Amino acid sequence: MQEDPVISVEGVSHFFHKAGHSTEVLHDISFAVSKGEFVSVIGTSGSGKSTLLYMMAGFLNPTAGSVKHHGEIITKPNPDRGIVFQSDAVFPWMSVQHNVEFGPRMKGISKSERRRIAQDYLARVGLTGSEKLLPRQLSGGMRKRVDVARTFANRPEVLLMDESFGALDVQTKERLQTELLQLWEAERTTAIFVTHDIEESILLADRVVILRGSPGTVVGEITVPFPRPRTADIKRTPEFQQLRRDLTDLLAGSD
Amino acid sequence: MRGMPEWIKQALAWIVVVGAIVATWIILDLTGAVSSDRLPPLTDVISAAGREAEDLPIAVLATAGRVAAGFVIGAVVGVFIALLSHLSTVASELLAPPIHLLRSFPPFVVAPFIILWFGLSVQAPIVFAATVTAFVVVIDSGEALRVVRREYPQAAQALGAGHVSRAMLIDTPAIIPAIAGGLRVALVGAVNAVLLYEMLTGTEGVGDLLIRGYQLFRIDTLFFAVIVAILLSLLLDRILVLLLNRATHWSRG
Amino acid sequence: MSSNAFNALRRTPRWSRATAATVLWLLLWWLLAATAAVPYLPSPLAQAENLIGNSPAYLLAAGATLVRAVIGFAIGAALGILLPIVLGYWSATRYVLDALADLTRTIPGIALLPIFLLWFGTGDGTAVALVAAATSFIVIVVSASSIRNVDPIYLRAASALGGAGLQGYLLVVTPAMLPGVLGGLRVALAAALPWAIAGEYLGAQNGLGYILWNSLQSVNLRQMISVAIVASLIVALLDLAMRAGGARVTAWAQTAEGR
Repeated sequence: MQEDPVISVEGVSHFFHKAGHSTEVLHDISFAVSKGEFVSVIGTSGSGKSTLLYMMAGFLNPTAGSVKHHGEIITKPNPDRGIVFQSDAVFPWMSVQHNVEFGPRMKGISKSERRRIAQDYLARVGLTGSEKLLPRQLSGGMRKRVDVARTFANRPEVLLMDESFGALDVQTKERLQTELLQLWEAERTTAIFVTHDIEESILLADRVVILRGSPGTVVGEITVPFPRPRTADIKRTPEFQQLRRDLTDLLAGSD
Repeated sequence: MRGMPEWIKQALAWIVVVGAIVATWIILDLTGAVSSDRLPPLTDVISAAGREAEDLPIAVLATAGRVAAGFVIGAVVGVFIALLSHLSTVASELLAPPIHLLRSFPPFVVAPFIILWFGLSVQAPIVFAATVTAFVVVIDSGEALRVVRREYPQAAQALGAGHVSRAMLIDTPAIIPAIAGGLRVALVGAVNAVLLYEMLTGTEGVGDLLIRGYQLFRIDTLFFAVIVAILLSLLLDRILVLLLNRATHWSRG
Repeated sequence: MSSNAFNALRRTPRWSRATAATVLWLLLWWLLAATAAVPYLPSPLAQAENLIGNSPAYLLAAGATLVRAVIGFAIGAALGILLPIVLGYWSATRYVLDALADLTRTIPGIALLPIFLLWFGTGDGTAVALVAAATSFIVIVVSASSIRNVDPIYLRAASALGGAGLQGYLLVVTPAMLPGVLGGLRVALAAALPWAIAGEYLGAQNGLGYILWNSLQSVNLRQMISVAIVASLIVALLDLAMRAGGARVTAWAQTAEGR
């Protein structure tokens, strides 16, 4: 029995207009994400994957087709769909604590309660003690953790991540992937993670959707068979490497 | 010379600037190159200071108060209008004609209108200073809002912020570093505005001190008043810089 | 607003929406005048009549003011560029230049008006002097920061090529600081007209400021508004002219440097 999908993308195509002519960036994209699923959307650059995510967040409306949340068309941003961008979106003029408290504050949660929530999630990303610091006093990796904590602290139903670890160095990226896995496994939020990093997509996701070409089209979906909880060790298994090769082939278009 | 810490070099530079001005003054006076009814001797100016010492504090406070009030009101109004224009397409299109006019509207031209509509009231110089400030701040803030990294308001929206929260908690702090320079310029404009008003209407203040010096043909009083005006403006600027530094301490590094 | 009306509004071309907004403001003006909500305010039509009917007088006055503004601007610009260039040459005096710019930035030009009145009386001198002073303040500040922002690598490259000393400095720094200075000159030119008007309030026998001040005494709001409109138009035109001229000069400066 199939539960209704939380997020469904139905026949989405999108054109960008610039200086007189239009470019198609997405062509007839359809797929669905079920509750509690972690889906990775992987694609080459130019395949429109970030555009797709922006539509799920509600920042953009598709030229054709629709993106739905519980069957309702998404038209604008909503705290039920949290997003972590690739670039730094932590508010520089607020302390770490105030950043993480932001979502609950918007919900009208009391000061003491939201402080408790903030401390809880900061602890989960290993930033206890950094509450009063300003973002400029933190490293890029730490700021990314604040961003993730901030998004999770708002208890969104859907978590959207746009190449969120793309700007970090390899070691920090790997550490954050592990932390995200732990955090996610505790919350089991429905998640959609856009990336161009094949290994990252397999490590984190239950299912990988592959976008290719310009305009981007869905060329396949692959289920990731690894059980949870997962650690980065699975990267060394032959099954992982085979999956990686399959995805690389699909992305390169060798068919 | 090379090994000195920065602040000593800067302090020395200031001393050189002031010293050069004073030295030039004394030389011009002693050599008689400029007649004393054009350039009063330094000693005359100092005795003028003694004469005016009694009324000076009130005059300075009056002018400073008007400048401060007008500047703060104008800055707030300016940012508010810019935010309105930024967040609402309808508002931005409606406000476009007057804002476009503001760009070329000469600030001093407003003075007679203020005098006409507000007369010799307490609010007149404050409204004038606020208008002049708002002119600058609206345009500066508008441009600053346009280049704010869009990840900030987008993240705020995805966290549930409504328009008002987003305007006050996100857009406003984000643009303060960008408009800091414009705010300092606007402050000088506000000083000019208040001085002009006081000069044209003879209202008690530094501007009145200046125009009285002219009316009594006392060049020494005039020079003293100019020095007071410059020092007042410098003081207000330094206070603003202090406040701006505290408001933007998050952006350094 | 219902989303349908909103979308319909979006589809109308931009210029027609701008015209609609302007019309709305004119209507507001007419309303304020008709109800006398703003004292002495003439209706837009009466205003247009005054503006067009007296245009020869306004243009003549504008001419007088403009001449004072331009002469003052030229004097102030020359002083404002030369002094920083001289002070910027030696590293010791560069600190002096920065301190001078810091001080100059905060000088309230209006404070100088009574001194100029005493010195020059009510001829052209007062207004010209005020414009010159105000212009020089703006240009000194901008030139100082432009010189400070010239990448020292240009100077090092110049001396490595044998053009050390004064020659290298002038040939490298002057074009390099040009874009920044031009921006400052544009601001100063736009400000020159208002300063001339301010100087004319008490210090002239003709010109836009003189008319404006007298119109205030005789409570002739119609004339005041006409002067304001004429002044705004001139400032807008000057700004356009400067933009066009400035673009060409910067392009020349860039090709001269071989960029």
